[in-house]
Amino acid sequence: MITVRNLEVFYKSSRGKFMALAGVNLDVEKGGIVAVIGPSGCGKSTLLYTLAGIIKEFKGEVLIDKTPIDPRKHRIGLVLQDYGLLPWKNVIENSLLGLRVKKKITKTDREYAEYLLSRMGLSGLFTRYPGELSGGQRQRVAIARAFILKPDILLMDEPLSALDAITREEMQDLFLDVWKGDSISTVFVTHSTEEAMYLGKKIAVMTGPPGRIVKTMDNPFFGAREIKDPGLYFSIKSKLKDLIKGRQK
Amino acid sequence: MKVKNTGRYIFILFLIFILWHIASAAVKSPLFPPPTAVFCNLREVFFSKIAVHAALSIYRIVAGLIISVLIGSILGLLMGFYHSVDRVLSPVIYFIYPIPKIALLPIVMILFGLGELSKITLIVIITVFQIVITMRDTVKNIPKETFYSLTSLGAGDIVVFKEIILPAAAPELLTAVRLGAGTAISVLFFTENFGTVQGIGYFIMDAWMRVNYIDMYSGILVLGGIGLILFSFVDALDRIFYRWKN
Repeated sequence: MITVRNLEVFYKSSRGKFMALAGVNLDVEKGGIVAVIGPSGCGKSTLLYTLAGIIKEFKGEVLIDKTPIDPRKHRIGLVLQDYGLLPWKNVIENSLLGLRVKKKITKTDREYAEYLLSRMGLSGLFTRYPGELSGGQRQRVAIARAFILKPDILLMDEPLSALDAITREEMQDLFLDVWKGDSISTVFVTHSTEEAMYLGKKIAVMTGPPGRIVKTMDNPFFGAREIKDPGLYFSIKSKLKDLIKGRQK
Repeated sequence: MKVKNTGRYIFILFLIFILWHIASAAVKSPLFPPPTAVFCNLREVFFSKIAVHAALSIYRIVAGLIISVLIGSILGLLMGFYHSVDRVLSPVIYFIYPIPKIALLPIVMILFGLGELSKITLIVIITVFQIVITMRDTVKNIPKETFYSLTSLGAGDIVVFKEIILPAAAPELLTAVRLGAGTAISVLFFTENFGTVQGIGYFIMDAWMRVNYIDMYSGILVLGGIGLILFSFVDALDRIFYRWKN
């Protein structure tokens, strides 16, 4: 469970203070998945980095299962747009990196990692380096790494936006498939309305700067590839687009 | 691949010697003997006269570079990672780096004596700055996103150094060592002209004083050879990183 209350984040630069987030409230229930959608530069990544414990200076409350966020105590799975893999580690080393920082790697961990990687379609590539993989394959490693960690929360920062349309849909399905097995509380940042409506049980619309969440809504189309009610689908979609654009002007 | 590389080296060196030969035949002066004469001389005197000088010079260069790399990379990595260390040390480095430290040779010789220590010290104080600056900038240029996944795992500085800083800096360190090796050889030649009767630098200058140009060219050739071996060794280390770098 993730609880964010009145979150304010400032960036300091030579020209003074810049307000990146202005009073953000967000709830992700246990086993929930919230898609955060908004235009570029609205503070989505800032919100995610605060949840990940990377940004440590903020006002307000960020709680994970009712305790203040602390990356040393909580297990945080983070998947970034540029994959966040270390170029000098091969697939298996990269995928176990998260666990290795937290504890000693056992044989069971290694087997689980190999199982998940294979399920992600990466069998036979375990000793490859990130430079020897395609973009889609790299992103699979990054996603597998997050799940191998068995995290308390999962944070994804536009993880699929660098992929081509076909790979992207494949990865969305694969992600949901693995995610449903573990049902980890997840925040999924995206700038695509389609992706938000496919992957979010709830959708939070963010505008900025300074970043605010202007609307949180339930999404009846979570995990649905076939749209049974196109009328409703497109009305929600255009509502989302209006919310994103309307506040931007 | 290795055999092919060796072949390429031999071929290119062979071309250089042919050009040298032609130039020498055109000049026709004892100042510029043909390579064949130098090679014949080398075959006769290498083991009896030159080898001991060459070995000592290699020792001075390698010892100097190793100390330089140790001091330089520790300082550079800390400066790159901790902004506060950089802020204190940068002005010091920038102030001392451009001072021609060759000019300090007399002082170094007074402080460290005429022996090995003063020669190695001079190599260190001249090459260490390149290594410090290369290492510092390498760490500073690591994209900050690279650190994010470890930060979000609650990793401390030691883990970050082990998992990110050291592996990212290692290939760049080799570049710094290459630069350092070239400088070290030049510095060595200079230091071996003072207060010593050993070392390839001494051998070359001594041959020159004795107007023995064939010996002098033999020494120069050996000095070039030392450089070639050093650089090839560093290149060989490069292959460790070849896979993830390419």
